[in-house]
Amino acid sequence: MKLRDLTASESRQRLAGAGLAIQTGPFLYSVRTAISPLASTIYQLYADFPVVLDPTFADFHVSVNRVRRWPWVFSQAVIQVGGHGSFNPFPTERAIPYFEWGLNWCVSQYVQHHLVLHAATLERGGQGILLVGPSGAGKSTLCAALAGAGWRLLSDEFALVTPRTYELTALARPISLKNESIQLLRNRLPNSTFGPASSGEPKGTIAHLRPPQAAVEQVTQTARPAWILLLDRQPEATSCELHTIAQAPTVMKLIGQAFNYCELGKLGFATLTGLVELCACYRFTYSDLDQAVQSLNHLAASDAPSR
Amino acid sequence: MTALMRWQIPPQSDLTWWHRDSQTIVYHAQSADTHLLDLVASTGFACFESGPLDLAGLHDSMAQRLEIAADDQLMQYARALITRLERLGLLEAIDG
Repeated sequence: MKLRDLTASESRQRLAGAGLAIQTGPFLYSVRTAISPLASTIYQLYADFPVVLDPTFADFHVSVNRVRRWPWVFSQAVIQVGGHGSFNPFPTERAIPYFEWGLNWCVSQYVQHHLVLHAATLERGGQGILLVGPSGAGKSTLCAALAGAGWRLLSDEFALVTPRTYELTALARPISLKNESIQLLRNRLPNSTFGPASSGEPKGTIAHLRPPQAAVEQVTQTARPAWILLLDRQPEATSCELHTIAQAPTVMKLIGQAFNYCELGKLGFATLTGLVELCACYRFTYSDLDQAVQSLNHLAASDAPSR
Repeated sequence: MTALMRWQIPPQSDLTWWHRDSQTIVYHAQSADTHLLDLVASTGFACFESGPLDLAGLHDSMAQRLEIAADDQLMQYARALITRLERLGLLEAIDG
């Protein structure tokens, strides 16, 4: 059963009551909220996702609800993850980005059966690409553009690398876009669904793009990692450039992007080096999104590693 | 650092080596630290795999393995390398 098989009202009632379990890739989230705008946005962004109405088990339990805290004039909400209630309250109108942040927090804190890297991941022709870069490097923007150009979205936030096989597991949740990227992608993907924009965030304005239906439906298909791109967005650049980079520094760079490398110990090291051995590694300098998509389409067509 | 001092890889060390091109990454399981070494540093560190060495021994081994002159510059490098590796917990000084 998909979320869209419920009416919006049924979905809202369940979220406000016993909760609704949403399957996102390998994880089942039990979600509860009585905040109507958040419930509506969940219905909008997760319409294509499988749901379980009366789950006996969930990987993560996430609830977002109003709290009465000083200053009383502001409506505030708090997110709880599996009874973890020590997160700071936030203005209720920002419930959507905080909800998405909470789902990400679960993966970043608790998943230990994959090496979890902070990277956007997509697949084309069975081959996976990892887009790596600091906040603001344009991972999600490029990820959304590629997802709208024939690449299958795996995740705009995580690379879930399976130890020993090095396969990339898909998560395919809504893509978080910031500031000018929101309008850029609205113009680029006029038929896609966007959640409401939430302003006043530490990173500016945030809006979420519903993942393509095909990405959600094919979420159980893993991808073989083929390319690792360290993103270097240069607003003044006039062309896209792919520079091959050595594998050893790439490993060191990825360690800095890993959530659970230390916890996995030797398995984490073996997984990371195994991942990099499978991939062609590049520094990708770009400015224009059209050029970037074209360049990566060309890469996928001409540089598919034969492994 | 005196001429009588010797160093070794701590016997309980669990090290994993990964070589690519001219670079080496060493994973130290006890600390979960990962170290990127260039060709010269990794060659020097690898000299200790066969047992404890003093500064002169490291100097000679590195010159032999790298096929370079055992000159003052290499001696200075070897001394600095020992200090660095000891600080990282990859080497320890031993008596005798």
